[in-house]
Amino acid sequence: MVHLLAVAVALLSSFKSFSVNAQIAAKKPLVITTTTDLAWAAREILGDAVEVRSLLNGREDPHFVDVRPDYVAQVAQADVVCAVGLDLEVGWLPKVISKAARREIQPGGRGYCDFGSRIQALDKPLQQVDRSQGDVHPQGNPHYWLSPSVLAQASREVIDATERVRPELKGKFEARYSEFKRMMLGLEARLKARLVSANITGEQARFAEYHREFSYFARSFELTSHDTLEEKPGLSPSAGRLGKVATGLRRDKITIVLAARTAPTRVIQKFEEISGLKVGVVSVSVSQAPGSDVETYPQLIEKIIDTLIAVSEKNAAKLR
Amino acid sequence: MACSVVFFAPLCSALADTGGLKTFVAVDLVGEAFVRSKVVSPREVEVRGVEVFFLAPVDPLFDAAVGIAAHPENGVSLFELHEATLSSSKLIPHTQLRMGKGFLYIGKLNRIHQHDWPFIDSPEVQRSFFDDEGVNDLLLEVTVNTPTSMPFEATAGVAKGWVYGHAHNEGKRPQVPTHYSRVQTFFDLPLGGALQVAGNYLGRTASDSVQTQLFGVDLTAKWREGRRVPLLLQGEVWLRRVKAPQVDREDALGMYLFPQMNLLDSLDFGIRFDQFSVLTTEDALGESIDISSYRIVPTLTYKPSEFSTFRIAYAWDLKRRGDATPNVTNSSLLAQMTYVIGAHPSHEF
Repeated sequence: MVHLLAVAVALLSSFKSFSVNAQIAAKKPLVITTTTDLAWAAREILGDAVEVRSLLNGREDPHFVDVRPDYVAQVAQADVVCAVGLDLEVGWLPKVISKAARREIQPGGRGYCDFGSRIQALDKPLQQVDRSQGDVHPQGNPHYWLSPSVLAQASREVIDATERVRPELKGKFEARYSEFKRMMLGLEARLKARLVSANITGEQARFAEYHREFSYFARSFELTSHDTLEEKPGLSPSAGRLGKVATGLRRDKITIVLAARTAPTRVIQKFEEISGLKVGVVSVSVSQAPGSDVETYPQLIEKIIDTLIAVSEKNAAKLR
Repeated sequence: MACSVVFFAPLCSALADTGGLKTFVAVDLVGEAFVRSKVVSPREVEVRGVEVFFLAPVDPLFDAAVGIAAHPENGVSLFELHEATLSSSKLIPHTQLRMGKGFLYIGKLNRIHQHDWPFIDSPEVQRSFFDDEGVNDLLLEVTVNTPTSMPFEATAGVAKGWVYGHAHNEGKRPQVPTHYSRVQTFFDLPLGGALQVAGNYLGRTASDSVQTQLFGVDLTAKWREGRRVPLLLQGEVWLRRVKAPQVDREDALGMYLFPQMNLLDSLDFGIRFDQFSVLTTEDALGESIDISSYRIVPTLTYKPSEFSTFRIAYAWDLKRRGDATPNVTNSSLLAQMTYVIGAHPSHEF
């Protein structure tokens, strides 16, 4: 009788473990990214083999985000958690991950993926950084996703992380990743040609930006950042600073001024009044929120290029 | 290389600070001048608190925090231990463990340091039920976050309970130690807002058989646009029930509500409404009578960065007895300056 019971228990437990394993294998791995741009890239590369969700909706400024309990709940379900990295999310993501309380997705865990670790960061401070210099990122500029080629390079990280948590998927994403890289380089080349045909080259390719977030974008599209409206990163510029930048831009005949949609509207309006120049206010992240005109990454980059050309033409007429 | 030759390896690594040690110091300076006062004499400007914190992972499983704080007491500021906790979010999935000396994870103000509060002074409910700054004790605490689409967090803890609140003696062994729980959930609100709401319970039976129970709700609603928080709403409601042997039960109800709106990039304006009532007060004839106190505190905050804050506020204290109209008993002007140097960790929602 005892033997029979033991056999029954063993059979039941092996059946149970088989069904649990089968469930795990059948369930798609869940990849959670901090931003919509990483989510778009992850979906393109990983396809239907995984479920991808983004914590942010593309309308927030990823520097300033609250430790929302719904982020904690989402991260707690994730197999892979992907960050832009380079300290962009340092103010909130470590706490979200810590509260989700799962060892696998914490930094160093097999499900943690840092896109920024794959790239050569620009604007890395050469001297020691402190808070008197504003919100400087000691590891370099984190806004690399606005360069199609750099985003393609960084996106390799999501494949490695997914394969670490699901070794059975190893090698299944290589073809899609190659296609993704080709698409991103094609996008970059096509839009670069548009800038050339719009005569935005050489001296005409100089631009000013509200916050230094177009460095990688500028390198990809052969533009030169001339100045920033912010005197110190993360701090609202004074009227005096805006006046100084405006004078410099008019003197040097700079026709392109760009700002992210998250930049303070009041400051941008003030700058337009002072300088008489139009600022191209653009989305800097993909958004699938209702009413968004940048639902995919190619749409996002094309929209920035369109705005840049339009602003350049408008301001050139004013400065003539 | 020289390091490994000269020093014993662990010492060498300590000198190189490869242990991930982060430190911060927070200074909280306040001043209060009574414009109209019946009882209290004007207070001078004083450093209300200086907190020095050290945080680091201990090993792959545990993190530690050690905090010492100085507060003025009888004209002298002496540093004392505020926090010495070991915590882990890696031992049990979806579960955070915290043990050691610290503030109990209960309510809203009790969970955050005073220099991070959105207003200057302590609401009456916080002063009366949580001894001003908060209840700090030797504790063992478990917090579970459920991996569900509806965010849900539950905390249960037990604290030594020999003393309650801020005390400089060792107290007495309680009959039932301080035990507490908090259950929190979270909702999206229209126009990009979010609401966190929690139910709380705390209980303790002291050595002299006085039984204290606290029931409370705390809420935080926020609308954020980049660095700005156009609208913040924070509040707590607590009911305290105290039962001593041979004495009638005493119930007291206290609450505060603080709506704050952003005026300009770094400038916020909020008004705090406090109310505090002892529900079981009786008059000379043994009739139940409502005696309530109120405080209204409009507050202007200038916060150029998340590391420095300047506040100015005006407070009116009112008292009401029975059905009579509330009378202003005190009014005062308050000012505050706080700053943080070092690596301050992120705040909760």
